[in-house]
Amino acid sequence: MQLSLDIDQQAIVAAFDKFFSRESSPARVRAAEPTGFDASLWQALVGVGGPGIAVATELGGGGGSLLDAALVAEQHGRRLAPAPLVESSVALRLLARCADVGRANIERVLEGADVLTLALHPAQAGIAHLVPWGAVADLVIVLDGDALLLVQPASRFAQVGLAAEALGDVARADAHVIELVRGADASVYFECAVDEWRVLKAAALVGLAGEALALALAYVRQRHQFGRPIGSFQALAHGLVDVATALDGARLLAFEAAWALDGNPAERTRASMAFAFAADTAAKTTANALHCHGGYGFMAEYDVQLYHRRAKSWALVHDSVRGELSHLASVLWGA
Amino acid sequence: MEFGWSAEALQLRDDARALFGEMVTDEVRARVRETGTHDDSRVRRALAEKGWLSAHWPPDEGGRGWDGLTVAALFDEAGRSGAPFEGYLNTMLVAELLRRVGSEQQRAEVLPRLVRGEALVALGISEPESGSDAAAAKLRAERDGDGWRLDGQKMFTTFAEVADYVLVLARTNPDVAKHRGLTTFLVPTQSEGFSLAPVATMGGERTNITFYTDLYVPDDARVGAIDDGWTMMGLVLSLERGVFPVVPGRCARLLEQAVEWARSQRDPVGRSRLADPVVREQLAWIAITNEVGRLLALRTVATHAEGRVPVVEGSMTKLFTTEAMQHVAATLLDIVGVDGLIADGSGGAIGGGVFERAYRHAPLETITGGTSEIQRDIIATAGLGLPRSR
Repeated sequence: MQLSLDIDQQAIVAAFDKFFSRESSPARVRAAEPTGFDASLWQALVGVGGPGIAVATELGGGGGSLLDAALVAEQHGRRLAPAPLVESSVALRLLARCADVGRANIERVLEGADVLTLALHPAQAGIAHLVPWGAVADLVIVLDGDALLLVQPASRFAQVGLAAEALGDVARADAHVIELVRGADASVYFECAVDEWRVLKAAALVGLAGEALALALAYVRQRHQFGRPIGSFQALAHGLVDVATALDGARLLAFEAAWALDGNPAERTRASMAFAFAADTAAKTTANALHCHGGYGFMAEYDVQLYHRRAKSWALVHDSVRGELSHLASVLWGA
Repeated sequence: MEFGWSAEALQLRDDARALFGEMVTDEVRARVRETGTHDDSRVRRALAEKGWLSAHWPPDEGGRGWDGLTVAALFDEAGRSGAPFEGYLNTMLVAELLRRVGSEQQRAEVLPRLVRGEALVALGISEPESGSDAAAAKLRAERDGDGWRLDGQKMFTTFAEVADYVLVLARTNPDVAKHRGLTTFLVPTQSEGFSLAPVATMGGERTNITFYTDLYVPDDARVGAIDDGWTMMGLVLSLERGVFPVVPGRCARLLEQAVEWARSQRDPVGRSRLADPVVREQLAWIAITNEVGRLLALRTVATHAEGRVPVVEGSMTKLFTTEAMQHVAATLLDIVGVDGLIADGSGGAIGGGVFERAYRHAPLETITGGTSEIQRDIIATAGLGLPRSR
């Protein structure tokens, strides 16, 4: 057991911290709204091997573990990077499992020619509903009945709202469709990819919440009211402590879940725990962080609101915390 | 980063499970409940004989040189077993203190008795008028020849009725800032001038008020430098907050018992209680917070094993796990419902009255060892870099 990062892991963190700080400034994040997609950031991210970090080297990837990908996802989350890092990472690993029919498409993604994403819920009546990055993706993996498909959408339409993940419906009709797997394996592969998504999204939410907390801490140290820095008031400080504590736990749990899935792809418990706890903690942290800014936090000009909105939407494109608890109960105790 | 247990740790876990299974009999549990004293000399000596609680010490100091994280595999089992070894845990905190700062004589004469489980030490920190503000202690220690005369009282001196010593925080200098005028003494409970009065609690745990009346101790009884008692207490308390994590194991066992119960019960239409979506959601959340608490505790142990004092890590562990435990106790009792209210021995108690007992016990957890508010103050200043609130 070793609960701190080794030297290689620290190097990954340092490199992607630098990358996202440079390429995903708050100004870039704002400019990418309302769809939430920054094409040049995506190109740069592909260029530094972000989405392929946990794909085998013989397939052109970085040969890293899911834990390595989780480290990248945390840094991505800290800067709210407007690009489908988590979805493409797990979709690439899914393609890698799908023999030649899947692997043939990996190269185009790693070269930056195609944007790849994953529909997190099975299609209904031939339509995958509000897929994250579905409005900008060239390739979408969709589970439709007992077939896992790679869909090249014919038309794309972004729906705007609270979310900034270029949500869009992906319809099978009129699209070019490649069948990746059919039969029992299709849902097994799909569930495995969604579990990996849970873990990486948990890490991204931890990064997001960590940065929102840092914004709040900086603010309450410098903002004075009643002649004192407001961070000296226990009513504020103790609320921040509670989310900081939960956040340290959420980070450990996300990394433990990545480690567990690396060792055993069928280990579903911790992926679900990590996602539910990170989603809950991120929502509480950003709400608290925004509140600590007072009226300024509600102003569009302040960055904390960017974090608050995404803390909800990044998780909810898959499920609510309560919905995830129901899933976890099924994993733990059966239907 | 690696979250798996070593082969050594897994072996220890199995050994601990076997030992607790053998030693912690229904008889032992019943006696602990009757007396309220969470100590059993057989369990204590068996643990001491294994040397587990000092296994992370270097071999030349009587330890086994084990990785501190290996030893952590034991605590989960200890928590699950409900073994009455809190008295020994307290004692080993003091043993750790003596190992680091004790005099040669204390390390030669007192320390081995503690490690062997022959003698217990109770902690004398709180007083009737100072709890969270522990540095405001008024119990006086004044010079008397080569020794000291102690006068005053300590509150919540748990285990004093079975202890051989009380580690007493005493005021030796009233003329300086309160933190700088304190000294710690290892006071034998056989001393003339020592007496105690038992205090009953809602949870059934026994504690005491201890009285020190014109009590003489030689200077040998002093632990650490004169007027440096606050540093000693800081060390003991930081060790108390998560270096011996048993709360996550306790909560894990409670969850298992609740799941077993829910699975076995049927509602009026014949559906398992474990099929109730509300129950499932609540139990799933507890499974998560149990795992988070376990990880925070492991991080604290790991920090300690690296030779650093886990101030923030320990406070976070203490805060999170004890607040979670109260949620666990209240939620599980709600799930079990009215049957859960029946105490052990009263007929019809669910699982030996475990949920009733947990609910009675839980409020203590966020008070003892520093309240949640004290932990939050520590985390705010030492962890988050916020200005002091007082």
